[in-house]
Amino acid sequence: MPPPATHFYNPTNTDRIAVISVQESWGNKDQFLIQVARGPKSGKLSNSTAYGPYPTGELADRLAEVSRILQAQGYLQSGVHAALHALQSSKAKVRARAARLLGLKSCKDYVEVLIARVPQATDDTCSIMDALGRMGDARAIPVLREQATRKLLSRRRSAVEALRNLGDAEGLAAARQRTLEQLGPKVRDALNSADESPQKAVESAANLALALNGSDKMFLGLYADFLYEWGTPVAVGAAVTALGHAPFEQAFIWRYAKSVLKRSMLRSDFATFGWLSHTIEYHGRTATSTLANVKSGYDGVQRSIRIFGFGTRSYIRRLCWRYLREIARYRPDLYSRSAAEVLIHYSQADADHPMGKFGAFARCYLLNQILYGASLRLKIDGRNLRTKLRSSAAAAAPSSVREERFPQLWDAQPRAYLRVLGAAKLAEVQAFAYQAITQRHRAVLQTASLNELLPLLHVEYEKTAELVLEELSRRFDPAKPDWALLERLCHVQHPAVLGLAQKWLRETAPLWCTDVTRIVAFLGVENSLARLLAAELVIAHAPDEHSFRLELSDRVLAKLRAPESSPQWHEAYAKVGRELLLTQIDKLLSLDEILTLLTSESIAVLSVASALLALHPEAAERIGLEKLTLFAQHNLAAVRQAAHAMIRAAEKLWAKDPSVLLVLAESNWPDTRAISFELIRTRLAGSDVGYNGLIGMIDSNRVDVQNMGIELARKHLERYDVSDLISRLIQHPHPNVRKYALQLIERHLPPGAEALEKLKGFCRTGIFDYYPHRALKQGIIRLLGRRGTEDAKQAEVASSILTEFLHLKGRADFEEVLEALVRIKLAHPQAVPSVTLPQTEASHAG
Amino acid sequence: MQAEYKYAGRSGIVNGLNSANMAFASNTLREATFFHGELGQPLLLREALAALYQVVVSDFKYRPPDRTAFFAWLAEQDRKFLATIGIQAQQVRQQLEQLEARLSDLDEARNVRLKPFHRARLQFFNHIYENEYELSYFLDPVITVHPGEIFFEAFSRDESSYARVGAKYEIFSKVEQLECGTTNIDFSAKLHGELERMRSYRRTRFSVDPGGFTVALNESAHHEKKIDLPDSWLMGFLQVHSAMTLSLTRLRLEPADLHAICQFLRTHKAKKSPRAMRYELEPGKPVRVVFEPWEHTIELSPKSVYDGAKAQSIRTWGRDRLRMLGRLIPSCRGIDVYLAGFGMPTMYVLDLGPVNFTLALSGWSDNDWAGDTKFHLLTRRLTLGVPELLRVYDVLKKSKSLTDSAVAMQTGLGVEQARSGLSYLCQVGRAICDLSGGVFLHRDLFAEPFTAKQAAALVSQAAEEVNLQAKAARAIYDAGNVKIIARRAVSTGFKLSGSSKGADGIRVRPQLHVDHAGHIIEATCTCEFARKHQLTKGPCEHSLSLRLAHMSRLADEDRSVTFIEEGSGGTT
Repeated sequence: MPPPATHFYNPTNTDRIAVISVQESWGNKDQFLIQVARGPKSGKLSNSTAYGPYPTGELADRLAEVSRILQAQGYLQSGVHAALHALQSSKAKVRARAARLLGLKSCKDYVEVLIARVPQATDDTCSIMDALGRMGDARAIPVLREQATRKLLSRRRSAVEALRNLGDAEGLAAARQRTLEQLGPKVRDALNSADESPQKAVESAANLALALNGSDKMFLGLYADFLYEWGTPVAVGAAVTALGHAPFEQAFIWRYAKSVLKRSMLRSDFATFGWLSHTIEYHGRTATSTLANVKSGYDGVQRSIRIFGFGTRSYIRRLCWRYLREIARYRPDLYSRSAAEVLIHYSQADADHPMGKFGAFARCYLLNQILYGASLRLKIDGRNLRTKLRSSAAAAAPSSVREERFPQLWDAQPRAYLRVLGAAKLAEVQAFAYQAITQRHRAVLQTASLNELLPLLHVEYEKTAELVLEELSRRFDPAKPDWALLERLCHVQHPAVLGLAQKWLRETAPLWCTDVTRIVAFLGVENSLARLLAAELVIAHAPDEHSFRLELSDRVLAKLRAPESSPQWHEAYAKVGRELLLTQIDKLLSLDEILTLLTSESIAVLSVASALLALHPEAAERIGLEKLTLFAQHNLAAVRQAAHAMIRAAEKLWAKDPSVLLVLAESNWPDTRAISFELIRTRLAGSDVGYNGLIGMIDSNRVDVQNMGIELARKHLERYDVSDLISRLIQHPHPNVRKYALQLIERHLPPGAEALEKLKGFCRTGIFDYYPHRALKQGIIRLLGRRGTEDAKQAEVASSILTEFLHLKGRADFEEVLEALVRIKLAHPQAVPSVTLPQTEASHAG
Repeated sequence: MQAEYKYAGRSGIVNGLNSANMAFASNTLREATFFHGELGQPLLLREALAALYQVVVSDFKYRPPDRTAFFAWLAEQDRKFLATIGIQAQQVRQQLEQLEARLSDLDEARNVRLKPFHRARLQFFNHIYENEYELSYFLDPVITVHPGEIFFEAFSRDESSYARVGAKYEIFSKVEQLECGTTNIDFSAKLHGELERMRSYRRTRFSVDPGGFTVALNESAHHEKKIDLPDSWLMGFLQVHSAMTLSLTRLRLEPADLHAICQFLRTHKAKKSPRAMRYELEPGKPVRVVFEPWEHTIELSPKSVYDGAKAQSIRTWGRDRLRMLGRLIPSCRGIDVYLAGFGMPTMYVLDLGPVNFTLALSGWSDNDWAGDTKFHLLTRRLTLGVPELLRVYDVLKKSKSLTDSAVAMQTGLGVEQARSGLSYLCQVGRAICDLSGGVFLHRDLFAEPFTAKQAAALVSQAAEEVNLQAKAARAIYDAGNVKIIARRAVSTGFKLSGSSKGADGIRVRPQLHVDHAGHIIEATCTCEFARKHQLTKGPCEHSLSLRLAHMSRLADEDRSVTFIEEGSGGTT
């Protein structure tokens, strides 16, 4: 792209205007013609001369040569004549503006002129020093060093930043030394101990910010400005962090926040500029100004000044946009970068309630200037800095019209779109960058590195992630896979990337599943889902070659033996080990080594060890029943399963003494209990667990164990003393056993009152149970009624028990009890004492 | 207060085929206390300890449900509604509806897929709850070995229920050796499970020993607990015995009565206030229990006939806590209910034969024992010197269990002074009141010995009247702003009517019913405080000042009687 035309001016010549422009040579795109046109006015250029054609590489030198020729003829760049004239003005404001212009135009020829102005400069000193810094001429260093020692903040700031722009290391070192002396001890120590290496920079900045916040609040702003002046990434990071939460409406903060903003402009530190300009605008919407008595560093007079007032806030917002405009004009290559740094900080937190023609972001001045500055449907009010629609009908943005300011500058430096795409929080801003990239600058995405692309996946704007995934898909060819890219994606913890990585893993599985090194690498990636998929694919696609599997087993075993780098890191290796390589790994390990693996803290390793153990049922004897019992009650299901397999196989060990099965029946784990029940049912079918074993099972607090015991009791009842069994079961506190006890009682309770007397507690428990079982209650009442009619003694016992239940409030209970009592009374009138019924119950009885 | 427990072993039960060994590990940081014996009736102890465990783990405090998810859902519905308002196009609306339906399907599918996970997570939390939670949150029960019985005391987790299991030595078939004292025992959910396996057909050894099961289980069972003991827990433990020394209305219930109450509570859940349980007492008639808000009445068995002089209705709250007694109903022979009054604590003493179980419930579930109710203010206090207090303590410590008159006899103090001393000791955890036996028992709640310094602090604290009402009452009395208008001796004590003027200058009319010991049975007053809170936050300063005036007159009468007795003795 050819450079823009340059205008020259000579007030003494007839042709006062000269314009140098560059044009493509006709028919040759790589050759350029330099055209110099002259005339009395810019609209009347007639005297034209063409030079060239020149190739692109030669163009800059030739342009400089033509400029020199014009300067020799008395022409100067437009505006310079006026600026030089204005430098002689009696007004400091005019002189300052002139110096600023010379600086922006980088007119190095007038460095001496500006240096000469410094001694007699008053309020224009800072502008002159800023201009000298921008010009980049080392001749200004001595005068700037002298100014850098001034106490006045504005002078010192301009001088130090100018020295920085000139690259004067010695001058900066002296300034830093002075800064160090003025910092508080805590901050100074933290700064001295800060590690500037990229790995430690973030941590050091956080520590320094902590020290800064821990210092006297009155000095927070001052120290932040000092640190920003210090200029290293750690110091700048700490200053920005500390200012982020500081109250701008306080004088001791605002003075220095403003200073940092000005420094960032002089230093072209767009990141800080963008953040601070947005922060000021954001705070400005909610913060209220304060009045403070401030002593001026300029004249030493103390005045009552409004801090962070509306006027100040508006001035700063305008200043920021003016700065961006100046960049667009004098440093056009930097505009898109600087604007991008401003845009990325806007978020939904900046939104207001939309009202009428004012949108949600009407008060975001910089955002609107950058994004909609050239819009015909929006109007930015220069007084109150608010943006509104010109017409309500034009609310929707036209798709074909670009509304941003300086679109050509964005197009000239389109990589700024990537920055916006990766960091912007606002959907509107994201959409702006997305549209630009998809419609005009797709090459930006195609040339972006993986490090630039991957962060874009984490933005909230869905289309951006889709765009990146599309680009990644474009780059990956399953036939010739980029393994580094695939491995890198497998480490990313992002659902969309995971999907892509899983897809590629599947597509390329036949290729990588034959390479041991690649398998081991994919099994150890950070994303757990990716590594589990890799494990499944390996299991499905790994070649069935002995040597291959042996080598893979060796590598997998080595990984399993190494400690876990992150939680569950072993799981994919363990899965492959268990499901694919178990026999190979088994060949590599002795039983002792397997038992050693069983002591590992990694669950995955334990699962492999358990599976290996299950391959050796013959080892049960060597391990011993005691240890197997412990394994069978292990917290890990896999270990328990292995133990189950071994216990099944080791029938010889427990057949004679099945007490181990009774221990397992009381396990906390249902699967172990189930195994125990299964073995008792199937392997001990011919025999039983013995009376004590049976009682032990029924005595359990677990219903399934009780049921197992009851099942055995039913099966082998003829072998036991039923009276004794009844006397034991009636003491059980669980209702589940009571039901069976009642069945036994009904069928096998010996006759006579003595046996019935022993059931007193059981009957009371059954009837007074807090969670009653109707069948049990009725059964007990029926039993007492029946036994009470058999003989007088039993009638006495039964009636004494039943009488207690007469006061039960349940109507059915009462009636059943009463009926039983009446039957007993009719059968044995003398054995049953007379019963007095309460009024209500008597009426129920009717 | 930081409570430290150090156990050399674990509590547990090893159940063999024909014998069982039940060992409680005691806190080694406390005085050496041990007991070795053999249980004759293990089932009774099993049931009582199971009920004690229910109390220990119970928490009836009201906690509003977590409605975060509901509010999130509500916000989501609002958002959807607002989103659809702006959508004019029919096509977009339909598309949105389709997407919503799809989302709903996906949510359902996700829930189905995650069901095993949720189940496993629930099981995990249950496991954590059972195995870990108690380590840091359960407050271990206190066990005291006495010459006549062993008793366990514990507070519920919400600190609103106190339980005491007293096991007389009749429950043991053999008592081998014992050393009296008080200690904490390691009591866990696992132990509770093992307790359930106690049977009478196994010879069951019972021991309280610092070692617990260290040797038997051959494992390193040494463990320590450090629990930040809430002040409220401590205060509650002290207040509960202050409440027991009050004049209480006593009722006698049958197991079927308690069963009827518990059954009703189990099957009915009140969704709105009032939720009180009202005891309707009419002289010569069985007690009636009324459940609000249904006004459902249960007339209790004839055994519960009320023998009081006048009819009264006493409302109690936190009735659901009675369900903790459900397990004991089949084993108990009778229940004594002690009512302190409207909204005041209630005590249930269950007679299981050689075992008794006391459940003391605070006024209502959310009101723990250390709340605003100052029960010690309801009891009478005479000024006592340090030597007298130490004498009472020493006599009680030596005899372990004494009635107030026995204490008076052995210390040489008057009965009133002995009662006051015992009341002080109850208040600082050095004695307890046994409602079932009607005696005071020695029990040191703290490991530190009771010294003269502590006694002096207690006496001076009492003299200072730390409580606001008590201070104000003392000021009224000292200023002579209280006078007794009427004083009538009744069978239960005295009925008083008076006039009292507090700091606000308003003269009010307190009326008191105090027993012979000076404990307040009933108190009413025309002041705002009494009208608003009745006795639920303790008596007002006017009632207390009237009692001071009464006590002063009583002391004068005592002195004159003593003088006459001494004079007559001299002449004989």
